[in-house]
Amino acid sequence: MSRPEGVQLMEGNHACAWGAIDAGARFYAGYPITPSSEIAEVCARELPAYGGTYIQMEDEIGSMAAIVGASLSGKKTFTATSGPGFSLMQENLGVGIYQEVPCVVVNIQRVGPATGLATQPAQADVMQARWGTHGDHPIIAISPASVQEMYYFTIRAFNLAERFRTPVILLGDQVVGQTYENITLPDPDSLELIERKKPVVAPEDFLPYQADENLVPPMAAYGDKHIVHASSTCHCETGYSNFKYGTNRQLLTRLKNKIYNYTDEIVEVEHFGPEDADVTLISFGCSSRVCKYVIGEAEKEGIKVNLLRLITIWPFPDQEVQKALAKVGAAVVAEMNQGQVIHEVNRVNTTNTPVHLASGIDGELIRPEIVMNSIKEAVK
Amino acid sequence: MNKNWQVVLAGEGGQGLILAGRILSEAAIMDGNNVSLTSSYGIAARGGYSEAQVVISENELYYPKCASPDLVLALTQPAYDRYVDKVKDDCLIVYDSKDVADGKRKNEFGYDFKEALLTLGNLKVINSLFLGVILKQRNIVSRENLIKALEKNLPPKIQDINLKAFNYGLED
Repeated sequence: MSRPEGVQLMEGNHACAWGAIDAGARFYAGYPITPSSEIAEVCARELPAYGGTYIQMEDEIGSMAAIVGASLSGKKTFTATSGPGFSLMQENLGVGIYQEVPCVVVNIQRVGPATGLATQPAQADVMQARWGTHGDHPIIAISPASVQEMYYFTIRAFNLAERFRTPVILLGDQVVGQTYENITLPDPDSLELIERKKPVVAPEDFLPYQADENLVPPMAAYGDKHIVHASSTCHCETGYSNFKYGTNRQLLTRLKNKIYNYTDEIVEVEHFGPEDADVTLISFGCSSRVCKYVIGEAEKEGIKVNLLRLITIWPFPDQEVQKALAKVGAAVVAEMNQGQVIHEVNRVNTTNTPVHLASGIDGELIRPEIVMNSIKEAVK
Repeated sequence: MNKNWQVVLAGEGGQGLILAGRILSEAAIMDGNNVSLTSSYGIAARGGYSEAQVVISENELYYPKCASPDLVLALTQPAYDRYVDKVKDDCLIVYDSKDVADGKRKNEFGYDFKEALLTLGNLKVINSLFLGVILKQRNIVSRENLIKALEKNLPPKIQDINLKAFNYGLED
């Protein structure tokens, strides 16, 4: 099979794999797990033809280690998994963050904990994406809601990873991963791709962790003339471990600021529905599509509802959520867990707007009536 | 063919429901519509409840599942029972008259798939047959595009018998 041309009926996972290939990813290491396996399938079949490498690893710990190592060698790399595998990846995800390694981790969420309701949809790894790996760290996570977005957001995830020199999580779910929809892949030459910055200094003057004005160190690959040392221990600009007082503070502060000083470049939301509403829905991923549907149903019952969809989950869109809450009498957070994003919403709820939860934990796409009931409760 | 449709194809594993959903979806795309296809099935390759849901819309599609089906194909009793009490009055249920006990609603149509398959001399073409049967009842997609999608999705050596089954369902 070659790259699909023209309008296609395509599965979300396939669209993700093609997005990665079109973004320039040339290394995939993974351990297949439903409902993400089709990403591995397409990579195994297609990557060699692009001069890329597919490796089926012994497990997800190894998969994450492999994509970190291959990225340090100069490739755009990624892996895909679901909850149980995402748990195993956490340790080396931290290594990727600390060593500032651009790579993309796709998590097609399913019901947990443990084996859960294999392999039904959930959105319950939101906090795991944020805090799953130990230690203080920033993370970028974005959430697609359609097959189209599985393609384009995968490209966006690679661009963010390269721009900020950090792992990026594509936080999908079984619904967006395994739904088929019509899509036309664009001409790959028309895509705007970001590549990691290369060193501009002479090899003898190169310090692999000396940041530029954007707080991001230019990156040489293993084997280049510029010598690289990457350590999972606290390190200074040389890349070698350094336990002096102040080094860790300096490093952690820069890792945080290189992302949090640039949230304008990262954070994206979608506003949907009437500008003025009785209730604002706040949602993301597959649940946000249910919200869009419910807005029409609520209108029939005379309730004006709009939606703030979080495209970026991490860093959390503080200002956008704050503004939306300030404009409305009540809000409903719709998510397929027992309340994760709602805590972040309440954290920025300076106007004390009543916030209700529409929680879908039944191993299926959240039912419209669950969202509708929460809306009715909110307008009571 | 620009009408919004929500179609459920339900039965058991091995009946080609998901492939039929794919063929129907591709025909709808050829008609110029937006489509969403979802499926659910058990871990067994044959047997066990299985279904495909196809949503067709000329507009942007929000809810990717069938919130309120317009047509349900029920090839087994469990499939029929799952939908009979929850569909709206004008939803048509097409059911297997041999496998499903006598229907209990006004808006339904029983069809003897087994007999038709025996006449066709091939039990495996049930999905092409039921696509013909449901298209005779409702113009969900254009017949030309359905035939194109069928040809696209099947290997050449089984195309003739499947086209024959489709046309049989359409004319029977």
